[in-house]
Parts: sequence; structure tokens; C-alpha cells
Amino acid sequence: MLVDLKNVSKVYGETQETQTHALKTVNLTINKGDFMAIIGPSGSGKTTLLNCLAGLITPTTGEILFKDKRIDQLSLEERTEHRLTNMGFVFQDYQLLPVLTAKENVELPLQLKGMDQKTINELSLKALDEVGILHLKDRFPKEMSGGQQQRVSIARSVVSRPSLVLADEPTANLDSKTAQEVIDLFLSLNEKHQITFIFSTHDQRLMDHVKKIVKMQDGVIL
Amino acid sequence: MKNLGFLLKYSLRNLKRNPKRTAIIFITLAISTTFAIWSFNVNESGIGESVNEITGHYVGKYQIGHKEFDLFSSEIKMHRYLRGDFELAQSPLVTPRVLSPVFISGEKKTVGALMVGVDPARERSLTTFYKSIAEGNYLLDDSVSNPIVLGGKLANRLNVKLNDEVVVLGQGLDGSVANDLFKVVGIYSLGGGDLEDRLMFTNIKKLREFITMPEDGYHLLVGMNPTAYEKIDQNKVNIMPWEKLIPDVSISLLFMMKLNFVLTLIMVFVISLGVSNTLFVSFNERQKEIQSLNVIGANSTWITLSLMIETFSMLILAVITGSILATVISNYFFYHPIDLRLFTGGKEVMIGGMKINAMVKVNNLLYSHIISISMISVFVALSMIYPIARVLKRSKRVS
Repeated sequence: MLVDLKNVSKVYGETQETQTHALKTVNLTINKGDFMAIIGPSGSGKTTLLNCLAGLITPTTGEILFKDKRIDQLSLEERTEHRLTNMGFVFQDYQLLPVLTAKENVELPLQLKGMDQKTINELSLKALDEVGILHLKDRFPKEMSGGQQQRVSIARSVVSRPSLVLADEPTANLDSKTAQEVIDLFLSLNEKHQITFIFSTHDQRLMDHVKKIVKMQDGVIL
Repeated sequence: MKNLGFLLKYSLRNLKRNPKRTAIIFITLAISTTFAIWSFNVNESGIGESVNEITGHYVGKYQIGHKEFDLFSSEIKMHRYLRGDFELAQSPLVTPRVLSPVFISGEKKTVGALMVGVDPARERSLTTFYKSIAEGNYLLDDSVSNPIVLGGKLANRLNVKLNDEVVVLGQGLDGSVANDLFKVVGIYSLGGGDLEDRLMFTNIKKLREFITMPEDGYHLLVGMNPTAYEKIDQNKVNIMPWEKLIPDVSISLLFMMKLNFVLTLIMVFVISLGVSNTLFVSFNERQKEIQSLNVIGANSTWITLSLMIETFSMLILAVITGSILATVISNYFFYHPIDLRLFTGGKEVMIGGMKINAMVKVNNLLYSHIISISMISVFVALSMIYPIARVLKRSKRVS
């Protein structure tokens, strides 16, 4: 078991009138190597669930265990450190740093970890090679297509071999062909390195390939 | 900190994101640095020159007298004087003076004035008073046994001119009446200042004789270099710095210095508000990127450092540029002095009743660079606190 959510609830707002129950007593277990999609209409609570998993927010009640360690009780800085050590992120709009080249963007988590430059070079070039854009390593994001940028983003998310990668609508901005290529890439990384992928998505193409689907509505897992 | 190179690379490249905005902040900071340094240079040089000129003229940078001799007391204690065995007396760094309040009579009028006995040769090597002699000489003619140099105003009041004789009536140190006939050998002019009416000069030897003071006695030692008295026992004598001797001048100059400082401070403060606003806009535009950095695992320290490096590198470049520009401009105005009469409608510039040289040579002073750069750096550092704090706070908010 990689992540375990026990009776997690999240309430936004302070007064009775303004309170919104984004998550209602959610229980979810994520195992190592899972390839899972969280789906649901807008406002169903999937983003809140993803944010809880990432440690970006803490639940109002309940527990979140990551490798049997509670992360909901960690401080803000400890949760940042936890994300750096254990997680990778893929965003809908890639979120690459525009002033860094593809290789430097991939290097980012390793640099933040304070690894030595030789190892960083080896790992980042390997990650770029795995996602098939080694030849674009010196290009800046604005010099690449959306699909290429998303590949850089994926390389960045897996370069430090995290246990868990959270991807928020990773194919939403891509054309069909590129989206399929990206999905294939996720699948190959999942199979090759046993990295756990959790997607928040509306994309049927992606849903067709995941091994597990978690449906959400009104803050509850159906 | 590990991997500082990567942090520097990221921070410095951010400067190129919006070249126009970076250029505006850079130019603003460089120009304000130049102006602040130049303004301090002009002020310090002008004031420094004025102080040297005013003190070097007559008062000196300091005066040393007997512990109980007080120039500002209603009764000048003439019998409290120093002797030749005082360690500084023979030093070429000082000139001795003897003072005596007297009455002086011309053809039809008698007025009170202060007679100052000076050693003409030593006086000439330390002060520039001799330059004020409008007629005659400054006690250079040894053949005249009772010479006297009067101010233009006093000479007019007494209706006397060069080579006329005047009667001087005073009091000896033993309490006896002293009187003698003096010959006017010189008339000085201070541009109509009050001193012209109050001070007159004679040979120190003559005045000692006049008031029955021993040959090695004197009331004051006047000097320009304060290091001269550093080693003497300051408990035994009364040391009066120029600020106490001419407090009105000292206060005026201090006021000018402080006013300049405050005005520069206000200018830098206003500029820093502008810089703060520009930084705020700049950081705010990158809010989403900074948020992503936080999600990926960059902690607050890393993000803060990156923003600080970005701002400080720009600041460092700007103050270096400003400093070089200020040096060039100050050097130009050193060789092409500023004429203060431009600000007085062509009239002479007077301070403390004395005419001063209106041409100000601007010196490039290290002090001006240090104070200006420190001031701007502190304000810029303060100005980035709010933009950084806000962007950090918002980066932790999850949408």
C-alpha cells in the first residue's frame, strides 16, 4: 500500500452559510504501480482529493498515510519536502519554467534535492531520452510544441523516480495523436519503473487505458 | 547552499523575461544612485570648502586657552593666560594671540573694540586673513613700533585712514590704565561683515607690552590641524573647536547638510515605492509559475532567494553604474567648479558675516558613495519585502 486515505473530509468556509463540503468521508487506497484515473463532473471534489494527496491542503478530518506515515500532520515546509522526495507532477498547461531549457526544466527536482551535477546530468538526459525528446534538450519551452512541452513535463515528473505521479488533465491541451503518444508514454513508464500514476481527467482516451477508475460526485467516491 | 549555480542561472535569466521593465528599474536605480552621490558630493565639498575658508581666515579650526579664560564671558579674564613653557606654544602648527578689550579714539570719536595681538609671520603661515587687507599691510613693516590694522567699518566710524594715528586706551593685567598712540598701517575688508567693526590687530609683542604681559604669554593658540592638540592634557587647558567659536555658522552648515540628507532620503524613499510596485507587478505575473515551483518541491527559502538574487543583481549593477556616473560627473565639476552666485542672482556669498569663495569644486568623496549606496540598498531591500511576502503567501494557496 502506497497511500491510504481514511475518512477524509474537507470543508471550505468558516460559517454555516459559507461552508462547502468538498470531500465527505472519503476512503481510498492506492497501491504501488497503480495506474488510476479520478473522474467526475466539475465540483465533484476530484481536484480537492488530488490536492490532499499532494499535501497541498490538509483535510478537515481524517488521515492521509503515505507509506504508513501521516502526511496530513506535517508542516507546510515538511509537506513541500515530502512532495520533492516522493512525488512528481504533470500539469494540464505543462508549467515549465520559460527561462530554462528542456534539460534544465527536467533537472529542476534534482537541483532542488541538492544532488551533484554529474548525477543530475546523467538522470536528466536519461529522462529526456525516455520521453523521446533528447534532441530538444537545449530548447526553451517557447521553441517547442505543446506535445513536446508535455513530454518535458513528464520527464521532469519522473526524473527523480518518485513513488507517485499526480497528473492533472495531462492530455486536455493536446491533439488526438499527441495525446495518444503521451498516454503510451505514461503506460510505458508505469510498466517499466512501477511508478504509480493518478490522473484527474475527463479524457475518454486516457480513461480507456487506466487500470482503475475512481468516480466522484458531490465529494463522495461512488 | 547546494546547487547555487542553478539558482543563480534561474534568477539571472528571469531578468531577461521583461527587458523593458528590467531596464526601467535599472535606469531608475542607477540615476538615483548618481544623483544621491553627486548631491552628497556637492554638499560635502561646498560645506567642507566653506568651513576651511571661514576657519582658515581668522577663527581657526580650534583655539586653546587657559582653563579659566572664556571668550564668551561678560568679563574676559585677561590675567588668565598661558606661558611659553606650554608644550604646544612653539609648534608651527599653531599661532599665538593676545586679546585686549580697548577703547580706540580717532579724531572726534571713541569706540570700544577688541585688540588682537598676532605674530604676523606665524599668522600668515596658518590663516588667510592677510588676503583681506584692502590698504596697507598686515603688520609687515618692522620699522613702525606701534602698528595697528583696522577694519574698514571701524576706520570709517573713527574717520581715520592709512598712516593716521589713533589713541588706544586699555587696562593692564595689573589693573593699571594703559594708553598709547598707534599708527594705522593697514585696513582690512570682509565685505562689510560685523567683524570689521569689532576687531583690530597689532603686533603681539606690542600688545604684551601694552597690557604688561610677560614676553612669553598669550591668551590663545590658534590652529587648523586638530591632530596638533591630541597629545596635550585637555584637562589643563580650554580647547574650543570652531563649532563653539562660531556657532551660528556651524548651525547653518549643519542645517544645510541635514536638509540635503533628508531630501535625498525622501527621493530614495519615493523611488523605492516605485521599485516596490514594479517588483510587485513583475512577481505577480509569475504567480502561477511560483506556485508550480512550490508544488514541485521548491521551499520558501529557495523561492525567496531566487527573487532576492534577481532584485539584488539588478541593484548591484545599477549602483555600480550610478557610482561610475557620479564619479565622472563629480570629476567634471571638480575641474569646472559650480558658481554659487548662479543661485544668489550674482551677489557674493556670505556666511557668518564673511564673504566666501563662490566657486565650489566638487570632490568625489568615498563617504558619498558609501552613504548613497547603503541608503538605496536598504530601501530596495525593504521595498521587496512586501512583493515577495505576498507572492509566497499566494503560492501556497491552492486553486
